[in-house]
Amino acid sequence: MPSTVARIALFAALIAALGLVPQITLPFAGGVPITAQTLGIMLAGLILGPWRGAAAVLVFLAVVAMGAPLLAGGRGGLGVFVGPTVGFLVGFPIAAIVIGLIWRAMPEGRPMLAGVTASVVGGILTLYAFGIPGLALVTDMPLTKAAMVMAAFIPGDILKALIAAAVNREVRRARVLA
Amino acid sequence: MGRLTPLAAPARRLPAGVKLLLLAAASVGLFRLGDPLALAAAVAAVLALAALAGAWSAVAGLRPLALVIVLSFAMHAALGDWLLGLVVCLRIVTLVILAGIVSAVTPLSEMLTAFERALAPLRRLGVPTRAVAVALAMTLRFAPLLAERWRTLGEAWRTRSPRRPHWRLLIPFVIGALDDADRAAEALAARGGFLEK
Repeated sequence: MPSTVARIALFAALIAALGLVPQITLPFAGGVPITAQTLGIMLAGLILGPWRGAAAVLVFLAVVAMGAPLLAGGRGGLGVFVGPTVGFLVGFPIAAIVIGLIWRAMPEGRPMLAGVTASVVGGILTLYAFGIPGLALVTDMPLTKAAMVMAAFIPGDILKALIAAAVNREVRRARVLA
Repeated sequence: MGRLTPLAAPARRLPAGVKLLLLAAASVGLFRLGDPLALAAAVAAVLALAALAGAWSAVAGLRPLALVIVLSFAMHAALGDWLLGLVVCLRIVTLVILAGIVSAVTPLSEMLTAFERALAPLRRLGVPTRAVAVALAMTLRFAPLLAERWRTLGEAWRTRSPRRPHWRLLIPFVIGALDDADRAAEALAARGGFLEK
C-alpha cells in the first residue's frame, strides 16, 4: 500500500514539476515552446497504468485546486476550473485511463507503436473530446470554431506522444514496473 | 502588504468551506447573468473586492488567459455577435478573478483541511482517506524537489554538451522519481504507514 501511494504521489509531483520547469526545447519544432503537462499525463497512463495513472492525475488536480501554482505557466487555484481550459482538466484523468488501457491491450513486443497509439488516442483524441466542448461552453463558441482554435496545438501534441512513448520504453528497460 | 487592506483579515478568517460555497453560488449566478451592463458591474465589484481583500494576485491570474479571452471575443465579433462575445469575456474575467480571490485569501493548509473534511464521509464507503491525505502532502513536498532535480539534470547536460538539453533528460528524470517513490514508501512503511490518527 505505501509503495502504491508513493508512486501515485511522486507521479503527481512529476506532472506538476513538468509544468513548473521552463518548457522542454524541441529542436525540430522550430523553437516553439510546448508545455510538458500533457506529456506528464501521457507518461502517467503509460508508466503507472490506467487506474494508478488516473489517481496521480486526480491528486495533481486536487493540489492545483487548493491553490498551488503548478499548472503550466504558474497557474493554479480555483480560477483554472472556471476558465476556458476547464474541459482539458476534466479530460486529464480520463485520458490517463484510456492511455493505460490501450497500452495494456497492445502487443508487448512493440513498445513504441503501443506507446504512440495509446498516447494519441488517449492524450489527444480523448483529451480534445473534453477540451473542445469545454472551450465552446465557457466561451459560448460553436464547436467547430473551438476545434479550429485547438487545431494549432495538435502538431505539438503529436510530438509529445512520440516523446512519451520513447521515454516509457527507456524507463521500462531500466526499471521493473510492478 | 495584504495586512493593510480593510477586508484582508475577515476574508482570511472565513472558513474555507464557506468561501468555496460562496464561489460556487456566484458562478451559478454569473452563468445566468446575460446583460453586459450587469456583468460589467460584476467585474467592477470583484475588482473592488480584490483590492479590499488585498488579493491583487487574483487579477494577475488573468494574464495567461488574455490570449484565449481576446480570441473568443474576436471569434464572436467575426460571427457578427460582438455583444455575446463581450458577455462571455466579462463572465470569464469575473469568475477567474473571484476564484483567484478565494485562493489568495485561503492558506493551503486550510484548503487541505477542508478537502479532508469533505472526503471524510467517503471513509465509510471504504475509501482510504488517510492515504489520500498523505498522497496530497507528498505531492506538495516533492513537486518543487523534482523541479529542482530537473534543473540539476539540465546543468549536468550543459557541462557536457554544447547542445541545449532536450527531451532525453526525461528518462533519468522519470527513473529518479520512481526511485524516490520506492524510498519514500520504505520510509513510510517503517513509520507505520497510514495508521489513522
